[in-house]
Amino acid sequence: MKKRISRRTVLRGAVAGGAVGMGLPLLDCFLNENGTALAQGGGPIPVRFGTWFWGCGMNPARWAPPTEGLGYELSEELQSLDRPLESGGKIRDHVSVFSGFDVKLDGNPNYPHGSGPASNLTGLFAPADGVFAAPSIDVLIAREIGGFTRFRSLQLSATGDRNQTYSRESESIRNASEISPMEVYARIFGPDFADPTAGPFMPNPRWTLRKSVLSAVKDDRDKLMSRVGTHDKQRLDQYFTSVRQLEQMLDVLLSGPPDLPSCRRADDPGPDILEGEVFQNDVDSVNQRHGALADLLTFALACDQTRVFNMMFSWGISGLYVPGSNTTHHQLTHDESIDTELGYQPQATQFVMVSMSAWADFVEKLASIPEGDGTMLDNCLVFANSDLSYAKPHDVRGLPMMIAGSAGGRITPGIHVKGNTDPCTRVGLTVQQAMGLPIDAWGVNSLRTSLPVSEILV
Amino acid sequence: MKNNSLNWVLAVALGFAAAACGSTSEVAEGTGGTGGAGGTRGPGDAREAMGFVIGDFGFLYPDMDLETYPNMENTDFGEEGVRGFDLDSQIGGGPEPVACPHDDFDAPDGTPGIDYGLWSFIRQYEPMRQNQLIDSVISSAVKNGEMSIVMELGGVDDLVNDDEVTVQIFSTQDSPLVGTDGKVLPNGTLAVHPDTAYHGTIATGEIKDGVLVAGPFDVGLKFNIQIVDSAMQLTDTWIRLALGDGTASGILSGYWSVAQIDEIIGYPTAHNGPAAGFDYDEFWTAMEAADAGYDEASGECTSFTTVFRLDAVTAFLTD
Amino acid sequence: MTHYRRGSRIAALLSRFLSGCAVVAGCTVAVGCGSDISGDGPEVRGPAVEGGPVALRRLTSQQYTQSIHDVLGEDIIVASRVEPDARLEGLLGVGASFVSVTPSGFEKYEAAATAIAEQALSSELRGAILSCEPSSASGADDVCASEFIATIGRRLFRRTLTEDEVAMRVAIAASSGSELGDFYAGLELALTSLLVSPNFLFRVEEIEPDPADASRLRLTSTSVATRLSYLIWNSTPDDELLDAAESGELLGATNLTAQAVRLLDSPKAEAGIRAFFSDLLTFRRIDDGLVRKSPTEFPAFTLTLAGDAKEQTLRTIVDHLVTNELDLRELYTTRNTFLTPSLGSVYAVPFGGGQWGPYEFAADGPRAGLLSHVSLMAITAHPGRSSATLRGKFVREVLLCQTIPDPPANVDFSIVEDTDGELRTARERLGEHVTNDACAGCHELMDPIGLAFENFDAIGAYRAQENGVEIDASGNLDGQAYDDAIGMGQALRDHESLGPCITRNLYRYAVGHNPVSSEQDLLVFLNDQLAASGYRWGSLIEALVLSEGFLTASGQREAEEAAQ
Repeated sequence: MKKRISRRTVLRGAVAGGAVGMGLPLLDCFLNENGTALAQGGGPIPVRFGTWFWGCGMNPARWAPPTEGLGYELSEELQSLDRPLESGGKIRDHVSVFSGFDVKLDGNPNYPHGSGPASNLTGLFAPADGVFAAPSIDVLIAREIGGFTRFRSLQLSATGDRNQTYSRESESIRNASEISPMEVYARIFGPDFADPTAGPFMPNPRWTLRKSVLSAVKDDRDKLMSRVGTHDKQRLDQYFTSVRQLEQMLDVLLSGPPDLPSCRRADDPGPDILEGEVFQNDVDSVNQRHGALADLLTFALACDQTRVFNMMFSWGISGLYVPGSNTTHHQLTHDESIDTELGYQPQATQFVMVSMSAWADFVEKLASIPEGDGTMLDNCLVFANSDLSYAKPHDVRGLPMMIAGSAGGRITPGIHVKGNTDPCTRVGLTVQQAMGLPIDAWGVNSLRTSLPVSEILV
Repeated sequence: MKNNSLNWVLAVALGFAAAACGSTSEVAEGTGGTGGAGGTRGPGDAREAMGFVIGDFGFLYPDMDLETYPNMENTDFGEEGVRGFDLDSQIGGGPEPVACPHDDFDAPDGTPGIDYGLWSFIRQYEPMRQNQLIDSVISSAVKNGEMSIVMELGGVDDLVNDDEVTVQIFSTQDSPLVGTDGKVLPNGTLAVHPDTAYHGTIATGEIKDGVLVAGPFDVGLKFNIQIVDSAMQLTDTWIRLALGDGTASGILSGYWSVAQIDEIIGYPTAHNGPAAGFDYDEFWTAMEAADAGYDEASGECTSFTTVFRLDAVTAFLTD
Repeated sequence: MTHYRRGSRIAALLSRFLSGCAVVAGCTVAVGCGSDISGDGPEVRGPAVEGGPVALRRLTSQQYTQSIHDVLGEDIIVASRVEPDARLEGLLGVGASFVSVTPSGFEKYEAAATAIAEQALSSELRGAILSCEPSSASGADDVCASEFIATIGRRLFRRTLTEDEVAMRVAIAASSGSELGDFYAGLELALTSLLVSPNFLFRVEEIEPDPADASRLRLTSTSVATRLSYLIWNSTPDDELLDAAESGELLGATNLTAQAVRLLDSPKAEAGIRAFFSDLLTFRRIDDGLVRKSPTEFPAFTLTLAGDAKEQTLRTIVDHLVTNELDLRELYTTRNTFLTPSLGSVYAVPFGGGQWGPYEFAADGPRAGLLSHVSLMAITAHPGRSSATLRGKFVREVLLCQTIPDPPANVDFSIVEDTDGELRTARERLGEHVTNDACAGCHELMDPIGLAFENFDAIGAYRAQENGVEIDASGNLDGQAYDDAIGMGQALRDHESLGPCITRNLYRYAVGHNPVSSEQDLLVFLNDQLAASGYRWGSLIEALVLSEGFLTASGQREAEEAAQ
């Protein structure tokens, strides 16, 4: 599939970061396998990847759908997916569920709330509690497709804590989360935002000048490289990548607003919190922030400001609480007894339902933006996951995972696949392949797999 | 009676509401000073008797669904009765001949003769209704220093039964501490008003089964709310409070003069325009329903019996 | 005023260092004198250790702000949100040597730098930092730009810039100034490029062979100057310190001592000690709004209270260690503190009349020492209830430097059941932790210590009972028994690990890495110095900055070392 060369092609340069400012022939390297890397100039709509995380898992017997395949029967804890969509059908039609895929430990420690995400998102074992052995899956994908947009990726968290993020550049380098709708709005839709509805585009001369600042610091960094040890060289490499990302952002800004019909400036969410308050983790506040952040995200995606995102609803050690209660979700998963009649922990399970309801809200928002012949959700692949399956004993077998969206037609939605103790990395491998990464196998030891979940791949 | 919306009330009240955000005033930080035994402040500085700060104060309203409340027809105490006092010890008015004729209410237990003359005035004016402007202005003022009130219980040996205690109410210029739930926090420290004009007289009373009754006393409740800088003067006042764990809750009832009501409500409204809808003549007509304070010289009844609700929490009081 | 007493200290230090020792030529490694500083011998200068590996140390957000204020002016409003700092092994000061800059982090630094540059060169403020005037305000002026860049750049990079570094910025100023038709706007971009340079964002610790002994590596004088000023001031070296460093006159005994004392004596030293304890005691969590309490359970925990609580503990520490130079072990037993009315209400003590004032907790009351403060009790508790486990972990790990192992693999929590509310106090509930072997090992280390503080609820307010049952706060800290939190504080004061732990923490905060084996002897020595001084803070800092660990290194950190 060939695309005509747009002005943006000229200015943006190649994936590998060279040749800015020169007209280039349309090389295949500008497009991924499916020819959808460029969004502008009347080309196809970009495919976006995101993760959606909730903490403390679920009750396996009540969460996994009773039947497999297309049209799977909804379980008790997935009833929120039964919601009808304005665009037709129901949320469940767009959501695939993966049950029974295990995080393998191979005798390594099961760091409570740590090993699950570490292995599920990197394919490797957690080297220490809270540490990932490799960049997380969103970073791998962002490195492929993130260079075309203003922001390489966006990390958002409804928990009110910037350090709560599973997006890792490397072991010790985390991509902090945005927690404030007000700040997210200012960052994305502030003065630098090119509003396609706002009349003729005038590039801001400052953008070019800011790039000149960046070349000076790249020089500083090069000189430092020769004076530091190997550890610092790695850190300076990361610094360099980040500087480059800002350069690419300025390039994108210089090339004008995106040519996407559903793009317009988001509504200003207003100040986040009243004076004297903090970001509380009661269910209502979290839902409210989650909704505000998700709204901003949909506008950001509609305007191709990024194609990779991470949304956190609650952290692995979930601090969600019900107003008036003196205990939290995580605390309850450990302290609460199982009700002998119900067969589960009633209060802790309340939070599973809250989380699944928030997931449905999120998917619904993506489905509410018309794009092409369908909705934005059709052009997304959202990978929902948790840190554990059954939280009480920190069980990482059968880690709950879901995928929402059709990834621009590359995956078939609405299928329940049972893993039968296969490694969870099968899903991560599938996700990467669907996003166009040239990868045949992923993970180590018992986490290693070369078998994607073909049931969902088109 | 027309549903007057008193514009002055709106103007003042909106000013109050804006000011009533409950933030304590921040004084510039002092120096650290040296740590010494007791420093400049210590446990010995508080007054010895048991202190309370008022967290909620306002007129007494019937206990009913606020949704239906603004409807005049429904604003009455009915079977619930009025938690108050028979201030004039008469059913139906003063000594014979009946000087200020009026209807009394029944107490919750059916006892007749409870005085609440001002109720007839309150129920006519929407801004005076519960959760409406005046009521919320007063309850904010109590929390933010514009009309903060403290109370001291003296001689208390037993909070459940004690046949001799004293009660004294003071105004305070300090603001109580307010928590994240919008309510006044216990164990704050407040100084009684420096001007003894705003120290109530000391009343004796008793506690029976955890309920304190004391009186009579007089008190001037100082307030400074935007355009009105005055004090609410109550005379021959009685108080009844249920004492809990660090809390005191109940009612306070006394005489409030027409002259005062005019000074605080009537006159300012009439003379601070725009006051559309407020009719000074109608105000004075309503004042004729005054149920007490017969003045032989003029032949007029010059005050209203009034009932206030209040909630208090423990506090340290200083001079 | 919180400053160290000057005159007596210089005299004391100088006499210690100059008495009875030959000058440089006579000192060799064998007699334990290090670098080119004369010394009395091992008992004064410490063992001839080699410091650990050095690495780039990213400025923490507080250091970033403070440095900007010191270089460009106090009035500049600095964005509080740049890249979050990372805590490693309990200290942001150690995490700083492992972090880098992420894409979103760099975006924020660049935005912050642009805003800072705009303010600094605004017409109101530029006079303070720009001493020349351009020949034309609407274009380029390389001479003036060069002067500005060299002067400010030296303060920002903490060393004199190279010609290339200056030239590059002058070129930016020239081309931007011309493009925008405004000299100062051009200068803003040049200043921005200084502010986002790795040379500003990271403290570069350079090493060179020690002239007295080529087999050893020492930090260069500008690197020592930077270490000294960020330790003592939590900010960038001033001109005087940089001058001393760049003139080769810092690493001599007298000069280093004099500079250390000058820095300690300055009012800016209070920021340094506050920064250390804020880091150690995780007070940043309060700043970041992460210490949250349920509003229905604890309406008293307002933002004001949280800020006051932190401030109370920091004032107590500064007053105790700096103003009054008292024994630091008594931080856990002192009843002297400072309060505000809002704190007074949580402590349920009368405290009126304005804001901060000194206060002494009642001698027969339940509180003494830092651990009875609202700050630490609130930080080590959940939003809705206290946590003996978190408090015990805090005492063990932060105050005694004892490691609590990770929970075991495949831990099965299904055995810990709440038996329908029959367990009413935390002691009863946590009893379940210690009856199971898999859990007891670690929980026995933590829970009993934390249970000493059960009289203080999740915001540190006192309670005698929990659910109608009288609280039992008795226990035993490594052999020393106590009945309540006061006794616990005394047991802590007397604990043999208290001194070594604070020494270890200050040391790794100062050098930015966890101690390696070659530094262990030094830690013992420093603790001995601390003890010999009667546990005086000033003595510890001084001994530390004059020691080999602070002044030497084993080399640049390599990737394999970092992975450990």
